[in-house]
Amino acid sequence: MKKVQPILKVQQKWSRLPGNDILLVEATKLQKQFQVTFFPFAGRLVHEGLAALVAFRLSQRHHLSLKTTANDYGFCIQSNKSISLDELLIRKLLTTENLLDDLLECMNVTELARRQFREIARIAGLVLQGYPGQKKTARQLQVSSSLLFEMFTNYDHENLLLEQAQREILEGQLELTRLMNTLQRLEKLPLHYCQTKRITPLAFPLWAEQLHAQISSESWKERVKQMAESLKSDA
Amino acid sequence: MLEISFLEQTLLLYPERALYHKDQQTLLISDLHLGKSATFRASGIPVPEGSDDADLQRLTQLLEQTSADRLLILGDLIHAKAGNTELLHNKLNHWRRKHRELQIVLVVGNHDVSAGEIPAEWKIQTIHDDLENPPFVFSHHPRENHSYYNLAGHLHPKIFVRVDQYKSMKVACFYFGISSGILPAFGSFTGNALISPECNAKVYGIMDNEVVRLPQQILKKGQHSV
Repeated sequence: MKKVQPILKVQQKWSRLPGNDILLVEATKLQKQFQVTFFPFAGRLVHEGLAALVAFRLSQRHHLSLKTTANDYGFCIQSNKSISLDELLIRKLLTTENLLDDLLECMNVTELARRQFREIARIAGLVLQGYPGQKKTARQLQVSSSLLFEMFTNYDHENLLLEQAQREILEGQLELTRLMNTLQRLEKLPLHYCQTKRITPLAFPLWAEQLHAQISSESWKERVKQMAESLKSDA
Repeated sequence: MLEISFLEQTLLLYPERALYHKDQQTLLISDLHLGKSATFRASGIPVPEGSDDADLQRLTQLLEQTSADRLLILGDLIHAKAGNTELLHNKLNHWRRKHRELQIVLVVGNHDVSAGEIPAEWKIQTIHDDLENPPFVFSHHPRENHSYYNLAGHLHPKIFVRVDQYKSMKVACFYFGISSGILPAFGSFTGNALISPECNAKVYGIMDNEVVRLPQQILKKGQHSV
């Protein structure tokens, strides 16, 4: 404890110490980046789900590109544009209202379900893996689980395997029950929102962690078009 | 749709994965892989039907939009023998009756070779060699060192695009390299191969239902060289 005292002091000076009795949210504007860090202390798995949810809800309000990271004591959302936050908005981002719908929608946007479907497709025998030493399976039967996911979504969207993928993500990856409990707990806590000039010691590991998930509601076509245009004018 | 001028020809690139050669009034598509889901079902893998209908419908729309006289398919019309079924025959017979006047030419691809007979009712002219039609030569497999510029399919090209640290994606594309141009696969139940673009290649990606010229600096290398 003694060893971390200096770090905690810096944390207290720049922002404040997070804890069980408050919800600390820090916003930091960096050179080319804007970062919001939440400290709910709910465990990594729940934070991953929360980060995806909050990022999704933010991206619904503004055209933004976001990256999320999570660890055991908090999660952080990074954006290429500055986000104007206030306490009311933060409460809205963390509401239990519409939770299931938002999560399901978020799953589609982040393609979580598509990735989960890979495992399911294998177990269901849709994707032929072959056995070690066996000759390659018939070439015309090779298919990626992601393509199958598309086929099912487009032409058989009530398929039980799709439902299974959704359920596995909600419970296994997003920890729906614990997520719900956490949100309910956070709703009762006083919120401390603070804008810091620098990344605080506790936010640092989250900032440093490499990209975990990306979510975007910007039109990439426009961006690419602009790039192509600028290339043309340079040439 | 994006209109480009290439070798003094006017080419229209459609996000529905087709190319319209305006000067020849020919619609070009490649790699339909009809009957693929039936092929899977025949081997006990329950893939739903539906992509064939969707693809034929898309083809109809393209033919209406372009009012093309001729449809040129650059190979892989039918996926496999097991998918060459009565069901498919009925579908295509019906479709063909709605497009009686259309001339259809198929440059035979590797899948067509073992996919069984093409029914006579479909009135499709099959060509087993490369089809020369200056300034182009059409084939299924991409050709190098031909006297004409080659237009081909087979690869199902897709390109890795990295816009910035927040966004990277893989998009199906029209690829115009040094000696050959590759069309995206038309069939919706088809996989893709990530391609490595040559230095001076022009790549047109299909994004959000639009064809967009992709600048070289955001293209990343894939496993398949063209």
